[in-house]
Amino acid sequence: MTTFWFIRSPRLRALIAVLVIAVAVLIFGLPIIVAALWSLVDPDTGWFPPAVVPPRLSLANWRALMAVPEMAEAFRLSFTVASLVTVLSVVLGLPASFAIARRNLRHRRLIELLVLTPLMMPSVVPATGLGSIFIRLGLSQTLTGVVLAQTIVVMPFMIRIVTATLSGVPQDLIDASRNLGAGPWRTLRLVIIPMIAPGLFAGALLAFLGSLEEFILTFVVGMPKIQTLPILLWAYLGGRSSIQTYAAVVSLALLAPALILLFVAERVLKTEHLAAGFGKA
Amino acid sequence: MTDGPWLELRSVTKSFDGVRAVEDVSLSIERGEFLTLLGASGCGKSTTLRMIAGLEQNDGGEIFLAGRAIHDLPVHRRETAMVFQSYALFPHLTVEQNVAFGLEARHLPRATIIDKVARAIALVELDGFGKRYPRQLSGGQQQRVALARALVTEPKALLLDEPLSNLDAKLRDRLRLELRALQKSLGVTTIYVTHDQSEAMSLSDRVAFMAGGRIVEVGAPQEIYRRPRNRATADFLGVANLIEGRVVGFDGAVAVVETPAGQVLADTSDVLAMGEAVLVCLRPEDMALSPFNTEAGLMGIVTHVAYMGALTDYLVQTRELSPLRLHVPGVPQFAVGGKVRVLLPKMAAVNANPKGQP
Amino acid sequence: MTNGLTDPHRPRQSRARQSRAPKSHARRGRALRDFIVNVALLAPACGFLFVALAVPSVQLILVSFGLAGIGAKVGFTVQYYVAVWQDVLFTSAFVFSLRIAAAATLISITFATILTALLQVDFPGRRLVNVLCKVLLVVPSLVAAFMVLTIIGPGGMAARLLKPLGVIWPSLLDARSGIGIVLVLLCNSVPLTLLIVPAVAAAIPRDVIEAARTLGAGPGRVFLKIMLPLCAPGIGAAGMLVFIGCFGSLAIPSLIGPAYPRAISVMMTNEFLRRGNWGTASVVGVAMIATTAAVLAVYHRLAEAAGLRNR
Repeated sequence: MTTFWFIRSPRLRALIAVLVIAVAVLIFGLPIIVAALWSLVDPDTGWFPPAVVPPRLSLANWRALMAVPEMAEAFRLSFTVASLVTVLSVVLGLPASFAIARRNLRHRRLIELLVLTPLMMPSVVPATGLGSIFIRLGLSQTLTGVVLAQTIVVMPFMIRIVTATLSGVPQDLIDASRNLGAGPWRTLRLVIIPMIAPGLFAGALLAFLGSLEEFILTFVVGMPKIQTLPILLWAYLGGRSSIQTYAAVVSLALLAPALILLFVAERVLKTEHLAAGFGKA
Repeated sequence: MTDGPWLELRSVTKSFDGVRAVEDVSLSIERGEFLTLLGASGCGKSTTLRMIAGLEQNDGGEIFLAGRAIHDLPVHRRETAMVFQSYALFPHLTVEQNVAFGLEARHLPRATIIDKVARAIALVELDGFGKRYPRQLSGGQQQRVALARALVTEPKALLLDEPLSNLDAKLRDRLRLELRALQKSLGVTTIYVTHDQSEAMSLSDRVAFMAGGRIVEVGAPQEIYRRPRNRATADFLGVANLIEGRVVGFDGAVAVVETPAGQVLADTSDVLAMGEAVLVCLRPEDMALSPFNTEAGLMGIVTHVAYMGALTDYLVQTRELSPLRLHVPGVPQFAVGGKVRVLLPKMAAVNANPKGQP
Repeated sequence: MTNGLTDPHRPRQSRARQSRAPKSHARRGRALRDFIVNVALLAPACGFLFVALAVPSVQLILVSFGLAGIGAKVGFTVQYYVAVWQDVLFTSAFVFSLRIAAAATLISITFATILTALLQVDFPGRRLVNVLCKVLLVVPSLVAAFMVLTIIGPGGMAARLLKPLGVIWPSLLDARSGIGIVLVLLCNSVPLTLLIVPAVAAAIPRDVIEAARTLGAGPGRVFLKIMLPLCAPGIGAAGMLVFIGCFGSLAIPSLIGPAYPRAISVMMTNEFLRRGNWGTASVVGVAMIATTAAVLAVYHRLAEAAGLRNR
C-alpha cells in the first residue's frame, strides 16, 4: 500500500501513534483478556456483576476441555473436517483455477459465475436443500456429509485466490520457459508452481480457517451428531444452555489456531490475494 | 515579477532508505525556459522533478518558484502541473472533466472553467472529443489530454516525466514538435525529464545532464553536444570518440593539444594550463574518410560498415588510436577490410576533465 | 484481475478466428484436445459445485410446491406459499432480516471507506492497522460474537465498568430494533470490507493520484473526486457480500435478539429442525434466493448505470 499524505509534526505523529495503539488494545486486547478471565473463572464461586475481576481463578474449565467428552470430541472433529475440506478444495479447485486463469475458455463468465454463486447466496439456502437430500442419501449427520457441504462454501474462496495469483504470472515467463525447451509439465513444476506458491498457500490456509469456523452448513447437515467447535460454542452461548465459562474455553481454543496460522503466514498473506478471494471484482 | 531565476533549486538532496538518489543538485531556470533533465535510468532525474512537484520531500536544500520557497508546501499548493509517462488520466472522467479537474480544484467560476476547458481542448486539437472517456482515445490523444489538463491550470512550472516514451516513434516525433511549439507560444516554464538524448536536444533551451544523482553539466544543446566538459556527458550524448592528449602550447585564444594522432587545436570553454591532460572529443560526423592513396590523414582499416540511410556508419582501426566511429553522408564508399585515411578536423572539442568527474 | 485473466488469451482468440477458413484436420484435432483438457480441468470443481448447488435448489423448489415432500404427501400445492405469505411471523422476519442486513452493510462500508481515507495518510501505526485487519478476518465469527457479548452483553464488561460511574448500560441484545444483532454481526462484516476496500484503493495507479495532486487538489478533493469513484465497484462488491452474509446469518440471531421478530434464517431452520416442516422452510428458502437475486440485480443495474463512467 502506498501513502500520499504525510504528517510532519513529530508531536502529532506521537499522539496518533498512541491513539492507534490505544484503540487497537481496546478492540483486540480487552475482549481477549475478558475471554481469558472467563475461561479461568472458578466454577464454585462464579463471576457475577458487578465484580470487574473474578473472585477466584482456577484451571477447572481448561481441564474440562479434555475431560468433557463432547469438547475433546469437537476439537478432534473440527480439525479432521478442516483438513479434509482443505485437501478436497485444493484437489478439486486447483485444476479449475488453472483453467480459469490461463486457458482459453469459451464460457469463462459462466464458470466464474458458478464459482461465485456460493458466495452470493445465503448459505442457509443450500444448507436446507442439502439437508433434505442428505437425509435421503444417508449422509445427514455424517462426517462425509459435513465435509462435502463445507467444501461448497469454502472451495470458491480457494479457487478465486489461486486464480488471481495464477493470472498474475506473466505470460512472458511461461513463453520463455517453453521457448527454452521446457515442456508443459516442466514449466508447471519449475515456473508456475513456485510463482503461485504463496497464493496457493494463502488459499489453502483460508480454506482451513473457513472450514474451522463454518457454522450454518455444519449445523443443518451435521446436527446433532456431528458437533464441531463452532457448533459447541453456539450451544454453550445459549443455543442449548448457556455455559459462559465453557464458551470462553472453546472460543480461545478456536481462536488460537487461527491466530497462530495467521502469524506464521502473515508475510505470505498478501492483502490483494485475500481481497481477490472475497469477491473483489 | 521577480529578480533572479524563476525556478531555483539550491543544494537539493534526497535519499531513499539511506541510498542517495539526488545529491546536492542546484539549478536555475529562467521564466519561459525549456530545460531538460537528461540521464540514464536511476540517475535521479525523475526524483528531482518529483521534488519540484512535491511528490517527494527533499531531505536537504531549498526550492524556489516565482520568488517563493515551495519546498515545504504540500503538492497541491505548489502551482506546478505534471504530465506522466502513463498519462495518468482519470478513467472515470471524460476528457472535459479531466481537463476541468485542476480548475475546479482552484474553485474558479463555472463559466470560466467551461471557457478555459474548451480553449485548452482546442489548443491540443481534440475538439469534438470532449465527451469521450480516456479509454476511448488512442495513446497520442490521451497524451494530448494529459497535456491540456496540465496547461489549462496555467502552472508556474510545467513538469513532464518522460511523457512521450509510451508512444511509437513516428507519433513521438510529431508530438515533440507540437509540444515545443505549444510551450513557446504559451511561454510556460517547463522541466522535461527524458533518457532520450535526441529528444533532449531537439526540445530544450538548455539540457542538464545528470548521472549518479548529481548534475554533471548544464548547457544549451549545441554547447553540451559540441563541447562536453565531461567524459560522461560526451559518452551519453550521441557517439563520442575520445582521445587523450596534453596541452603543449597556445595559439591566441585556442590551445594546441598533442595527441597520439598529432596536434589538434582545442575549442574549449575551460581555461587550460600548459601541460594539462585533456580529452579530445571527436563526434563521428567531425571526421571524413578519403581513399588510402591520398596524402593526408591517419591510415586505417575499415572493420565495420553499416548503411543507415542518410549516412553510413564506419568503424575504422588506426594504429595510433582506439577504433574510431565515423558517420559519413551518403552510401558506403568503402568495404570492410578496405584501407582508408581518416581526416581529423582542424579544430576539436576538448575537455579538461579526463577522469570524467564532475 | 480481469486484465491478467483475459489479456494473454486475446491474441490466441483472434488467431483462432483468422484460421477458421482453412480448417485442417490437425487444427480440428488440436481444438478437440484443448476442449478435452479444459473439461478435464474444470469438471471436478465445477461439476461438484453445480451438482451441490443445482440439486438442492431444484429440491428446494420441488419441496416448496409439495412435489418432493419429506414425510408429507406428494402433490402440487401452493399451500406452503400461502401459509408463509399470510403468517405475519414470517413476513416480519423477512423485513427484520433485510433491515439488519442493510444496517450492517451501511455501517461496515462506511467504516471501510473512512479507513481507506485514513490509510492514505502516512500515520504511525499504519502497519499495525493493516495486520489487525487480517487478524479480524480470521477470527471465527462465533468467537467474535462471544467476545462482543462479554463486553456489551448484560453483565458484560461495559456494564460492570460503567456501574461505579452511575451509568446504566442499556440492554442492547434484546432490543426490538435488532441493534444487538447488528453490533455482533459487524465484527465479521467490518473486517471483510476493511480487507476489500483498501485493497481496491491500493490498486488505483499511483500516477493518477499524483496527477490529481499536482493539479491542485487537496486531500479531501483527491479522496472524493478520484479515490471514491474509482473504489466504488469494490465498495459495492464488499457491500453485497456483507449484505448477503448478514441477511442469511443464522448463528448470531438465533442466540440473541428480540423474541419477535426473529431473523428469517432462524425461522426457517426452526421450521424443519424443530417441526420437520420442510415445505414451509423451502418456501422461505426460495424467497431468500429470490430476494438475494433481486438485490444483486438491482445492484448490478446501479453499478452498470454508474459503471458507464467507471470502466
